[in-house]
Amino acid sequence: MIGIGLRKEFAAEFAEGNYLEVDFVEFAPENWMNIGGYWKKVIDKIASKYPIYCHGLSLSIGSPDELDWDFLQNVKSFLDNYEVKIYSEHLSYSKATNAHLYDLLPIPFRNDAVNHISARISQVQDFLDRELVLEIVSYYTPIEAEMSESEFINKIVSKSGCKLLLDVNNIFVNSFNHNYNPNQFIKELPLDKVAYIHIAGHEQVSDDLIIDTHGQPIVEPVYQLLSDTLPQISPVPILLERDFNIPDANELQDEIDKLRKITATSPSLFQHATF
Amino acid sequence: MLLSKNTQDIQEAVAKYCISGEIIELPNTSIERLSNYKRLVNNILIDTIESAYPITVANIEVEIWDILVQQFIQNHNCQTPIIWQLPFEFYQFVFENNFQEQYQMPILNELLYFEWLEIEMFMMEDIQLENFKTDGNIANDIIYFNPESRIIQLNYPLHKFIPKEAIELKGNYFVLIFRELNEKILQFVQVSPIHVWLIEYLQQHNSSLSNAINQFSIEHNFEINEVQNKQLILFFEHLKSKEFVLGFK
Repeated sequence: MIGIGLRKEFAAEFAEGNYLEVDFVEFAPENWMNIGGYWKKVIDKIASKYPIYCHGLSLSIGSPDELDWDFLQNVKSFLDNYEVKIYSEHLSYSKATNAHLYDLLPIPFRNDAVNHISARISQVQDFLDRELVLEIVSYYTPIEAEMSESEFINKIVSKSGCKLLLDVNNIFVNSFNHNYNPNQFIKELPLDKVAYIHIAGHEQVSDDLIIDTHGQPIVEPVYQLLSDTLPQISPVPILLERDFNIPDANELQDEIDKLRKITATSPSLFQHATF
Repeated sequence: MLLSKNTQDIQEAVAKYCISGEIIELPNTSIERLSNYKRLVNNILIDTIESAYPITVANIEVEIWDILVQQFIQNHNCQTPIIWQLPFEFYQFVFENNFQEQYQMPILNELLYFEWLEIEMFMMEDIQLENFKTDGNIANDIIYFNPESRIIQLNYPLHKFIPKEAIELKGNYFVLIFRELNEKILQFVQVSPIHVWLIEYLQQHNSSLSNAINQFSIEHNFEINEVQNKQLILFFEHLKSKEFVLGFK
């Protein structure tokens, strides 16, 4: 199954049904919940035609601040209302010292952070009555790490019981920025816990730094990383993210078709995909 | 909390650095790389606020606007997890810190308020309609109004004029704003104080327009002649054609 991350830039056209050929749609609940009017009509129309997946922005699971239960109640109502198949979020933090920053800050890879985050994941899963699927985020510097990134992720997944969102572009970006082998990194992950894949474009801004922009087409090495990864995991839905410099529909459809082609090369894994 | 004080301090220092740019020293952490987060956080906040207030941005000196936005970023703890609601916090911040007076821009607060209101009303949750009929007599039946509406009072006619012209027309303006039932776009209608009184009276009482007009006369000891009565009824007919009056109870 291949889906698209919904953007307001094309949401109205998409709602008419002929904009892109996809199997599902993903959007951030924060952009669409507690609203009415024009955009509510658009999102309702889309939800009547496609399965909905949600990818949150403001949960801030790695934050030192308290969880925001009022916010979570709104998320829960929204997920229930649209019968959302998967609710994913980011393994990062976006709030501290009682202030939202609206960006995904890297968590120190430390044991106490593992314990803190795992407990919060359990609380959130219990409250929402659904599994949380957490994305391994791109990051530009480790922060006073006491363990490797893969060890950190493995410990959190094992302790909390959450699922993983494998963003292959993020893995590629991180491997470039921190000079490691992306295939080896993926092998080190608890691959049986991968429930969802994201893929996107990025921008190399210097000899040693890539920024995860979601504003460019997917590059060939990222497609290759996806191809290398798929045979190692159970069939999961794959989402194309394009948040900036959004091209016309044909260009997006070409990327979606290419993803379909790649998944078709692992037919034994993908032919029974049901979500 | 299971998080150690040390890790909490590190996370908070990183977050504060992203806002203030205050240099921090963390072992095994690249401050140069960390600056990307500072840039990204700033870009997100600036873009969110600027895109919400295009008229204000176009009518304020760039230097002053930058100061307001930077003051907000540095001194305000953003509270909403819903980023499209953040511009309201910016409006509140500007209002509470009285930048209007500091920069001698008497229209600033109202301009921000007006632009925010457009967003808020365009985005607000749908209100369940009651049962109503579309046919009826505007003067004698009980009117059913579009519930997705608000009446605001302005000192400057920003609903009609660009800020440069509106600032020369200081007065007392009432504007009825409502979201169209089907297209869900906003309509702005300037109304008079008597219109405001009648609309609010009718929204609060199961009364016909004719009765409301009589009540107005009694309460304000103000006789409404036949021509004025006809004009008021015509105005409500106009509101029906604009679909603020949806029908009759």
